[in-house]
Amino acid sequence: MKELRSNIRAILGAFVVLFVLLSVYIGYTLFINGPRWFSSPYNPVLSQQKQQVISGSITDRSYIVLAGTNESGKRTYHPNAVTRKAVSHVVGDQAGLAAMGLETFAAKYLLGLSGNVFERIYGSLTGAMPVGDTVVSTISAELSAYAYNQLGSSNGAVVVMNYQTGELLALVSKPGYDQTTLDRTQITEGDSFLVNRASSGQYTPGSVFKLVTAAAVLEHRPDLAAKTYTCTGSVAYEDGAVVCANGAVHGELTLSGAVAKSCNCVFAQIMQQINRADLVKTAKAMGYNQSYLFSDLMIADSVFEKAEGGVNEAWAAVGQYKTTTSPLQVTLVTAAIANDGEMMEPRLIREILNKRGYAYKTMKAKSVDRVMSASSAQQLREMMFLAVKSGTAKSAALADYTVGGKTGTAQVSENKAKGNHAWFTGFVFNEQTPYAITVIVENGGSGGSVAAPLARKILKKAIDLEL
Amino acid sequence: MQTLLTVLIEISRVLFLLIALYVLLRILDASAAELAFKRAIRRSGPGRFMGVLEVIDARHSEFIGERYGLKWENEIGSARRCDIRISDPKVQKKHAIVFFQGTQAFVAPMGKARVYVESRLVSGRTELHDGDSLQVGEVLMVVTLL
Amino acid sequence: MRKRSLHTGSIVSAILLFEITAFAILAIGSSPFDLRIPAIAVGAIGMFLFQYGTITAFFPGCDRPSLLIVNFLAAIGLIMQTRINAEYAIRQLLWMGIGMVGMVVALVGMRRLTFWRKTRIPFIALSLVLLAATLVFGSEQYGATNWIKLGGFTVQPSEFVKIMTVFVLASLLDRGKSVPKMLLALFHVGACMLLLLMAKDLGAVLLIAGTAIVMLYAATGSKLLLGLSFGTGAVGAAAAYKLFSHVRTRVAVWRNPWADYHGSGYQIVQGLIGIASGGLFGLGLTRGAPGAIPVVHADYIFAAICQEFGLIFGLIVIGFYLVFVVRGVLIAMDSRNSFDALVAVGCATLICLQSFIIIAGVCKLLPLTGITMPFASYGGSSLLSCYLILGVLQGIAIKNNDIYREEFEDVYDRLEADEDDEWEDDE
Repeated sequence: MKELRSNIRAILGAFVVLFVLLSVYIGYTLFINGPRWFSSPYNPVLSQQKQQVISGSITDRSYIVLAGTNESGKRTYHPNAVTRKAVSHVVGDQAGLAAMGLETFAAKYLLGLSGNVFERIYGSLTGAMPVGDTVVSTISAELSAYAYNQLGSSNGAVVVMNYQTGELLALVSKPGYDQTTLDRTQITEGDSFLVNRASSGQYTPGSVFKLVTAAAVLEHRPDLAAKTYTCTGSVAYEDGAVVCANGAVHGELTLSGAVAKSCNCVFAQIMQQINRADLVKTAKAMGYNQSYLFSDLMIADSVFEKAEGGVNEAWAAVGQYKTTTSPLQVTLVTAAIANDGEMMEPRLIREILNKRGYAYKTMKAKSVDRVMSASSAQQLREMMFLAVKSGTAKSAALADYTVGGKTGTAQVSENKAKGNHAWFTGFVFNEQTPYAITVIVENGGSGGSVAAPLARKILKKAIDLEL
Repeated sequence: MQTLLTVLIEISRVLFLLIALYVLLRILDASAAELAFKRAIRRSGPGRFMGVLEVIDARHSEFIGERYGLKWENEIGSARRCDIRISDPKVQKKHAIVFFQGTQAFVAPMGKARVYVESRLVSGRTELHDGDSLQVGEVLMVVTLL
Repeated sequence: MRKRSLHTGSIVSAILLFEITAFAILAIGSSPFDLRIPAIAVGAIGMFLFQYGTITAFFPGCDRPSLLIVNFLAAIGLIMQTRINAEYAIRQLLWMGIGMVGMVVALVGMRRLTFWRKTRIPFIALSLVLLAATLVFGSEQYGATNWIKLGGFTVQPSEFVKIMTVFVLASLLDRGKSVPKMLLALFHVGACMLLLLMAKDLGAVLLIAGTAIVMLYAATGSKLLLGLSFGTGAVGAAAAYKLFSHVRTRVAVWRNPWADYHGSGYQIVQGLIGIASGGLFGLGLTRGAPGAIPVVHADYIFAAICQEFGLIFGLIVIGFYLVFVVRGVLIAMDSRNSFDALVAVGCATLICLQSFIIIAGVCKLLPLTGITMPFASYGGSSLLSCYLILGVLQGIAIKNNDIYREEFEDVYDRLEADEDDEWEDDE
């Protein structure tokens, strides 16, 4: 009997542990995933609320209404068609089609679910339909429309971000869609205009990835940064060769020159000397092979795959091979470089106004992580300044402002008919206008001649708008 | 009417939580008190024995005259952790167990130990009456039930 | 030293307040006014008071806390049923009545100890017959063939097989273990599990396996056997995964329900969304959307509870189950003979595993297994078997307490005298 009792005591302990673990798990998983599950477009509570509440408005940072509700309860949008398309992915669709927009992410506020008790009671007394809160986003409608136009007839994306606070001034994805003319019955799951290319597009980065490689060198093998290499136009391996774009031969270059002139050969030689694991580590720190859980938006995972064999390693180091990333991710890296190595979380929501216009919630800047040392960041900045001054990014230069940048021309196919993606990523190094930008023009050609000039114009517009 | 409903629902959100918490805590408190009570009962005072075993004969005469009080479960053996410890060489480490059910007393041998009640070898659980003789190893005792 | 330290009056009033407020909200909120709701309320409250009053009056040694917990859980269940569909609530009330009668029967029955020992072989035979019959004659519901239609009612025999297994194992694992007895136990457990697997009732398989392992450990304390049985269990689970496609689907859906949102993942996703929508304090009764969750009146009732009453409330419900199980185990420890103790352990394990598995399933900690939440879920057989388990536990508890009283009569008297003295001092 005594034995039986002590066995039972052990069983008692096991039961208690079991239930405690269950409770802890529930608390934890709901803390992490709760908000996202709640904002899911499949949530019937939200649909229910939409019928009982007048949805609040979404505005841009200057309080221009991007999505509102009229007297008959219908959703209305910005009067200008281009603006509508330019901000379509940020605003999102109420019916949940482009499910990554503010209509779903900020549903809690728009549908008045974060209201307080007394408002609800008062509301039921007066019999009026409750009104949701107004979500003021960080983007600028004018800048977004301008960027959208600049992309012309090509598809692509533009990201403009304040690298000190993380606010997104523009998150433009072309093609956008027009909510007022959208025929929802004709849509299928895979339609390309539903994708927010800026945050969820998965592109080959090409030479803009050199910023990550250079950071790896600066962080782990600073001795190599001062070394002089010679570019002869190609570097041979057992299983292939690495060549510089357009058959260029750059001669003698240090790391700084290699970044400025975007020399593949020097980078290939550097790859033979640094530890491959260090590059993977730095890439991870910069956001590759990581899953971010940002509160205002979804970002696609960037992938940096380990390469097998010398030539593949070299191509991977310059952003070819199997690497993929999103324009937003590239912006985060550039912003970190501009911000002394501190990567800020991208924000889409600036403040929440209650129906009386009082901003009861203001979003604060949040840091994701320190992804490199301040001195590495400073050195990288200098390299990017050099690129704009005398390197491949000359067409991004602005009078009166110090601009740093990196061009990229990502080869997406062996077939010459399919153009390369034109990339540019850079920043304006100025306290009043601390903007980082990334432009990608799909199949646009050369980064330096196609993407960089666009970036210059958009940056100038952003500065002129005095946002 | 709608207002009444809204007020009720808002109140209920807090009220139900408080009620559930109250009931849970109350029950936990009561359980703890009950456990403490039962523990106190079991330890209740010396001399609260249900019976006595007195050694009246043994091979090693130093045992004779020893008195052991009986609680409601008693392990008899030569091991140190036994309730009634008899270090006679013929007594097994765990020899027998004497226990109560209600007011009745029983003895049961443990393992292959030999236990005799009224000089008869017992094979399983056997009732003990007031005045019975109980032998383990080479120690003979008499049972007194209180 | 307090003798009657329960003050159950206040707990009863708290539960009453809960029921009255909830039913009031449901009644006022129903448009057009649903006359059934006040009727259900009266029925629920009446049954609660009647049951609690008579049991505590006739059997003062009963285990009050677990009785109160069960009533609270049943009340929550009833309220949610009424909220979802008053028809469910009415049937639930009916089954609760039957359950309470069953509870009293089981309670009184536990006093006949030797009688139960002899039920070993009949129970084994009955279990196997029932399970086989379900396989042959049963009808399918939610992917498992574990229901039999009898007249207008559907019964789930596996619920009763669970209880019978506890008794069979208790009598076989009791004192005097021998190889033939162990083999018989193994046979019974194995055969039942096999039949249940064929009926695709994965939940019952898990429950019987788990309970058998726990009872085995309780009886033998052998870590070797424990390890062996876990090992066999793991091997069995892996084999089931490889052999049965329905097991594979369940596991796949568990890992990523969003992949097949419109198909098998719908339930899990809606459940998670439901719980997340409730936040900490809940949306408020009638403010949620429990209808979007499949089977929300039975298996998934926990999601509805979290959605409308809040996560904190949900955690407290888990606490209630834990306290109930702990009390069951304490009753086992207090038992005077090993058969009672083993039966009590088995019953406590049944409730423990059942509530754990379903709550874990709803929260995506474990795959779904088609089990209900004890006392709260809709389901006649499930409710009845849970009340039977409660009755068994109460019966053993009453036996223990009565013996306590007998043995320690003068101690009780002395303590009562002390208490009187204490009261005098206060004045």
